[in-house]
Amino acid sequence: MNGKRKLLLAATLAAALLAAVATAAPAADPVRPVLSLSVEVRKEAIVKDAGGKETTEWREASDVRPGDVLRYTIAYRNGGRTEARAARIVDPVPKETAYIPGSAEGKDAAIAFSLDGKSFLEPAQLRQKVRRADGTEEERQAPPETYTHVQWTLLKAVPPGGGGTVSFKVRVR
Amino acid sequence: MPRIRSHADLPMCRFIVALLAAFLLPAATAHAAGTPYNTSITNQATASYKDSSANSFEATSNATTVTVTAVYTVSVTAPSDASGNTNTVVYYPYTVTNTGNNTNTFALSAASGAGGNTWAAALYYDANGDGVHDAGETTVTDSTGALAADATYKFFVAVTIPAAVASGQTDVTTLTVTGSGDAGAGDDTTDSVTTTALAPALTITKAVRNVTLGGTFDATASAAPAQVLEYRITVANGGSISADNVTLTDADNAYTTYVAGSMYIGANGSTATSNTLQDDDASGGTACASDACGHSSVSGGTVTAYLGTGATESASDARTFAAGSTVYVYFQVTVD
Repeated sequence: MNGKRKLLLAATLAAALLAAVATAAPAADPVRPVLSLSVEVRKEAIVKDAGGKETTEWREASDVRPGDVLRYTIAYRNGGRTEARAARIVDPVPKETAYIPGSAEGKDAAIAFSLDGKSFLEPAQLRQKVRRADGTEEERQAPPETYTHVQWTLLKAVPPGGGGTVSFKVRVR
Repeated sequence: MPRIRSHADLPMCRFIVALLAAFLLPAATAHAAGTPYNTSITNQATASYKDSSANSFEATSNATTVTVTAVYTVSVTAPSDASGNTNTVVYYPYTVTNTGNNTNTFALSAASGAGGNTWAAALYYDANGDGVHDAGETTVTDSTGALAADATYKFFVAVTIPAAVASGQTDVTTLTVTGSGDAGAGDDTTDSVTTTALAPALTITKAVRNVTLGGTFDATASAAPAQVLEYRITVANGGSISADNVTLTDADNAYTTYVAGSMYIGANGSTATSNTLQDDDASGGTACASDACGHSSVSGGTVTAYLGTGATESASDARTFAAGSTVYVYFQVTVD
C-alpha cells in the first residue's frame, strides 16, 4: 500500500515511479525494453505561392476526399531500461486507401510489404495470380495498390531513450 | 486491427507463407466514385521486439481516424452528332453518372439555338435503360431524382427536325446537368449535339434545240411553224436522301404538237436516242431497275413521267430517286 501511494504522489518523477513499480510488483522484470508507438496522419496540400510556385504542406487531417494523399508517420520510442532488439513495426494500409509506390521511409530500416498481413517481401518478390480470359493463370508482380501492410524491420537495436520515425503515404480510394 | 506475429527469424516459414499468399488474393473493393461519404479510415500500428535474452514483446499504437467528406461530381456521356429526315425526331441517348461519393440529384434541361436554327428539344426518360428510344417512352423528365454514388440515370434528348427545312441545315442543342449537391459547378456539366436535316433537293432544268435546223440544246431556241423542237428535261437530286415517288409533269406545250414516238428517258444527257424509247401510252413496260430510268405518257399535250428505281406506268407504284441521281427526259414537238 505504501508503494502505491508513492506512485500516485510522485507520478511525474520517473526515477521514483520506477522504484515504486519495482516495489509494488517485484515479480515483474523491471529491466526490459519498452517500445511505445504513436501514429499520426497528415493530409497533403499543394500550396501555390503568389509566383505560382507549388509547395507541399502536410496538414492535420480530420476529413479527406477521395484522391487525397495521406501520410502516416509512426513514431517509436524505447521508454524501457534496456535496448529493444529485432524491432519490427507493422502498419496496415487502410483498405479505403492505396499505397503510393516508393513512399515508405524509415532510417536504418528494411522495408517490406505484404498482400495478406502474414508474409512480408520486397516489391519484386510480391507475386499475385491473375486469371486470363482463357481461364489459365498468370503470375505477376503485385501492384502497389494491392499491398495490405507495410513492415519496417529496424536494423539497429533501439537503446533506452532512443527512438525514431517511419512513414508511408497512401491515396484515398 | 489484427496483431501481426513475427516470422522474421523463420525464413523457411516466411517463404511458404509467401507461396500460399500468391494463390489467393481478395479482390480489392473498388468504387468508381471513390470511397463513400462518411467512411472512417482508421489506422493503428503494431510492433514486436526482443530484449537481450530474446524475450519477445509487442506494442500497439494509438488509432488514428479520418473521415471521408462528401464530394459532388458528375459525368455525362457524349452521344455522336446525328442527322435525320425532315419532320422526324432524332433521339440522343444520354447517361448521367453520379461520380461523387454521396447521393445527389441532378436537374436536366435542353436548349436549342446556339447554332442558328432553333428546333424543338425535349427530354424523355429511358424507361428500360437500353439507350434506344422506344415508342412507349414518352415520359418527360427534368431531373435524375436522387442518385446514389456511382448510380446512373438514362434518358433521351429529342430534337425535332421541322418539315420545312432544307437539306444540310443544322441545329445545336445543349444539355445542361445541374447537381444540387454543392453550390459550385463541381457537379454541373453540359453536352452539345449537332443535328443535321436530311432532305431530297430536286432540281429541274429544261433545255431546247431546233431539230430541223440542227441546233444544240440551250435555254431558248427559235423556230418557224412546222419545224421540230426537242426538249431535254434534266431532273437531279442534289439533296442528302432519296426522293420518293417522283413524278415529272410538263404541260407547257402551247402552240406545239407532240411528235409521236419521240420520248426517251435515261442517263445520257447529250443524245436522246441513246436512252430508252418510251411508248407514249400509260400501260405496259417493266419496272425501272435504276434511278436514271422512267416511264412516261402523253395526254392532251401534257407529258407525265414517273422517274427512278421501281417506276412503272402507274403513279401509285413506289419508286425512289437517290441523292446524287440524274435522269434525262427527251421529247419532240412540232411547232403549230
